[in-house]
Amino acid sequence: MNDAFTASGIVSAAFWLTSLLTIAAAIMVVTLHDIFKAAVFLALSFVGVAVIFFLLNAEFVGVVQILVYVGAVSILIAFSIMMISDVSHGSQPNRGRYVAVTVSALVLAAIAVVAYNTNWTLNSSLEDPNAIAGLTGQFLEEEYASGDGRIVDLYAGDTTTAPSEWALQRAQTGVLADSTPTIGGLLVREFVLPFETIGLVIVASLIGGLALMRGRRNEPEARGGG
Amino acid sequence: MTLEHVLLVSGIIFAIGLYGVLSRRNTISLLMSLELMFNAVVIAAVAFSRFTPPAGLADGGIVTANEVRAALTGHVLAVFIIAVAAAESALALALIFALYRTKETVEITDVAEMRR
Amino acid sequence: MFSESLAWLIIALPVAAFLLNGTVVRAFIGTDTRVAGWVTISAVAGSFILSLFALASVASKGAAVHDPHNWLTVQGFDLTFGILLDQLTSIMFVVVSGVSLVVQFYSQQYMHGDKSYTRYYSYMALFTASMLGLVSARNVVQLFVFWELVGVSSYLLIGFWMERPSAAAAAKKAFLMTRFGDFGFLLGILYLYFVNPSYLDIPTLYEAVGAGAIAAGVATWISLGLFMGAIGKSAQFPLHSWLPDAMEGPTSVSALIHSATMVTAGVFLVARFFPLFHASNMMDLVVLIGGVTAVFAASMGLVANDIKRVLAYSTISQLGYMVMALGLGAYAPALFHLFTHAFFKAGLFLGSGSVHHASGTFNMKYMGGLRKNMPWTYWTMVIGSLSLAGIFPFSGFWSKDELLASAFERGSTIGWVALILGLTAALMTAFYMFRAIFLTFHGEYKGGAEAEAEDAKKNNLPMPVGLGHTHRQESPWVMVAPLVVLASLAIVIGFLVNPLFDLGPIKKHSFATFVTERNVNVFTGGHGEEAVDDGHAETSHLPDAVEAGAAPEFSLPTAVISTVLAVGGILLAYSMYITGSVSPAAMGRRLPTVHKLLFRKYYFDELYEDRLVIRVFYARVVRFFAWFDVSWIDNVNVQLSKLTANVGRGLANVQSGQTQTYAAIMAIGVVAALLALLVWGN
Repeated sequence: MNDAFTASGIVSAAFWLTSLLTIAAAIMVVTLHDIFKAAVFLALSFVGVAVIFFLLNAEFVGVVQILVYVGAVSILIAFSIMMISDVSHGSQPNRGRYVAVTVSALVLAAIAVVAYNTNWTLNSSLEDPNAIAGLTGQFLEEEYASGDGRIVDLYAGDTTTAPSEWALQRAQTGVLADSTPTIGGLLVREFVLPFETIGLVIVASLIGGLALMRGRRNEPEARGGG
Repeated sequence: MTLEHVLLVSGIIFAIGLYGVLSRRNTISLLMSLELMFNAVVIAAVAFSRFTPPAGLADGGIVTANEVRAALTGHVLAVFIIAVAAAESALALALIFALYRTKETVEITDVAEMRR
Repeated sequence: MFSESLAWLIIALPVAAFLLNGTVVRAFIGTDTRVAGWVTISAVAGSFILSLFALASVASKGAAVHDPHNWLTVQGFDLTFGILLDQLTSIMFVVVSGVSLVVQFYSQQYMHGDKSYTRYYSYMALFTASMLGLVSARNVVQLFVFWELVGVSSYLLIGFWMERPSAAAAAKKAFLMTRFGDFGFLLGILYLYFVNPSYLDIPTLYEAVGAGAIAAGVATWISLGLFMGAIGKSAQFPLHSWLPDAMEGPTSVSALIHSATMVTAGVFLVARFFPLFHASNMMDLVVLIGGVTAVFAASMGLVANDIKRVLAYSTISQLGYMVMALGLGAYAPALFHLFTHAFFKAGLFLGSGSVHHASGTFNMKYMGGLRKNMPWTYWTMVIGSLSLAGIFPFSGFWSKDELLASAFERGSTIGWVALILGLTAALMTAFYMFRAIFLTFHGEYKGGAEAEAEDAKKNNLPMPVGLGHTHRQESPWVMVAPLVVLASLAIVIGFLVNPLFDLGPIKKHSFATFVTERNVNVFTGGHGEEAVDDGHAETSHLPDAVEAGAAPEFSLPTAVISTVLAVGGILLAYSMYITGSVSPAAMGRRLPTVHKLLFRKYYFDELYEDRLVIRVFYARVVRFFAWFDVSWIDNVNVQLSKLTANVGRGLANVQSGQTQTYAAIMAIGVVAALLALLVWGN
């Protein structure tokens, strides 16, 4: 076992707390009849998920989550609810809720069984010190200890720069190396094609959404002519 | 907090979302449940990124910068999922509007177009 | 030695003609083009020339036993094929390709103007090729394949004018009845395979029989099966009734069927497996079947009015002779008779076709007096008839006399029975052949096809099919030349090929000697290879050859008796149909039962069609199968479709159009897939 990858007690406690909060909010989302309140709880659960991302050392994803979900999707949904007058009916469950409970429980059981029965290859089982150093940012720890103090910019190859105070701290506490620049590099190098494709998808959905929304607007004119 | 714990939490949120998708009648509720499911999946992706090493590192041998960078593939995947989900929700809301305008309803049980 | 590829070429030439006519000529030149005839004629002529070379080679160097080739290999069993070019095959080659050549030449005029001229010639080429393949097959299975090909092509040719219902029915009848015999043949092959798969190779079988490796009981069962096939193919009693009906085909086809190709296949089969038959206990049965058929068929010929039917009955009768002779062990006389019969019977049939050309009908009641109009046809048919009746010195006399002499030599009960049956048949043959000649060519002309059509109309009878136009004149030379060729062969070939004494270069009994004493493969076991090597047959250890093969000495008493009987038959016909001193009508009245029995062909058609087919087959077998079909096979279908409908109805409920139902089912599917992966994944 390698302690470099295990979360500290505080992180664990925070994780459980956040998880409970998120799950509770999620349950509210799917059970509340008042759809507007459900949307508010949805935003809450989005925030909870973002916190979980931070706790998993995924700051960039967490920030994106807040920006996109909490900031955009939640607001979009809230506006939609306000624009559709039908919401006064509330969100009624259909007749198949027991079937839904059963199916969901089955899926959960399947996921749990897979999660607990699989022999995952974990970071903590790594033994190669270079690999550990690479993942934890403690690259060439010995040299660092000897006063050279290099921490490798993952895109700079062998060119070394003096580590920032923050990076040093992260390296010592055994978490992943600073992720944001690396993700940025990945997005525009290895994953450039999916990245561009996603852009296309978003544009397409934007145009599609616009087309759907204004599709009716022409018709009254046509009708007026007739 | 271990990988199993995070996966469990992810699974719970996924199941809740699935329950919502299967049981709610309001399409906006459906969409919200769907977003929950997306989030659960993103959590799983990030968790794998956090707890499991890239294939190159686990295999041993010389550690290269590429292999280290691969550790963050899960994050990239998460970003992509979020982007797709955002696009999807925008489109889904547009569809809901269209549905509302044509059928005067947002209840999915009132829509059985797929029978034909 | 005649090379193997040349032997294959004999078969391949007509096959090529068949393919060429059936595809290229038919598609690109026309369905009634003379080109088709030239293609087939030149192919068959090539086969004929090669056959002559093959015969010469076998005659000078002995049988050519070519090694077999592998055809199929199944778990250690090798099914082989190859050419067995022995004396029997080489003679059959010449007979088949020679007669076929003459018939093809004749057909050019006879089939002239038929809209399916090309089809006719492609079938004829296939027919010839099948028969050539049949006689040269080295393996029993190979033989069976060609045997069936002969059956198929005869079916196609008998039903050539398939727009006539009677032709289609006749073709079906011929095919089904011969198939009935083939069933026995197939069983025989299976039993042979069961005894020892290597015996399917005919030379190996000869060796085994020669070495006494096959018990008499086993040989009996196998021979019985093979003989069933021969009975069907050679129209022996009781499977004879298809052959007279086979007259529905073009007359030239009948000529080929009756002389060289189809019906001789049965006799050939018995000859091919002669050692096996000889080793079995059923030779007497073969004699009885043959003898009974000879008399039985001849008796039906006495009253038939259709000239082709008369000839058909005579064919059955003559085949009976050959089978009888084989049963008596007289191998050489049987083949000799086959040989001579092929030429004069082909001549007679072609002659009847020529008559039809002039009178438009085959019904002898409406002919008469044609002698003055068509002298060539008349004289050639008279020669053929004399030969068939066995009058000295025509070829039929020599071969028939050898048959009777061998029966006489055989002695004992079976020999005497055979002799009496043979003599009776000889008397009848002479009578009905000359009855046919007199009715056709002598007396007053009775109107031909037009008169027949008028009579049919007057008596409210169904209009006879196949009536042509009447133009009383000699047929064109293309038709007459084959007649002349065949008639001249009928005069000389009997004596020239198998003379009673040394005739210059032709030795005494040269034909019999050729097919028996030199045919080491048939009459010894295991000495064939040596014989091929040194080119001389070893005759020293041939226990069967003397008894079975050698021609009998000329027997004056049988010759005199048979000639007297034949002349008597002719005189009787003369007195009945020329001078009228004995009235046929009066005889018919005096013996009404006999006349009716003969005229109705011993009620065999009724027996088969009414009793067997309708009462037994339709009423019992077919009804059972109908019941089985309806209540089991159909019912299974009904139930299956009901099941499908129910499942469909159930599944229709699932397809509600409710998105969430779909999603739930999909989720269940995902869980199931995951479970399956967990359980069987590793």
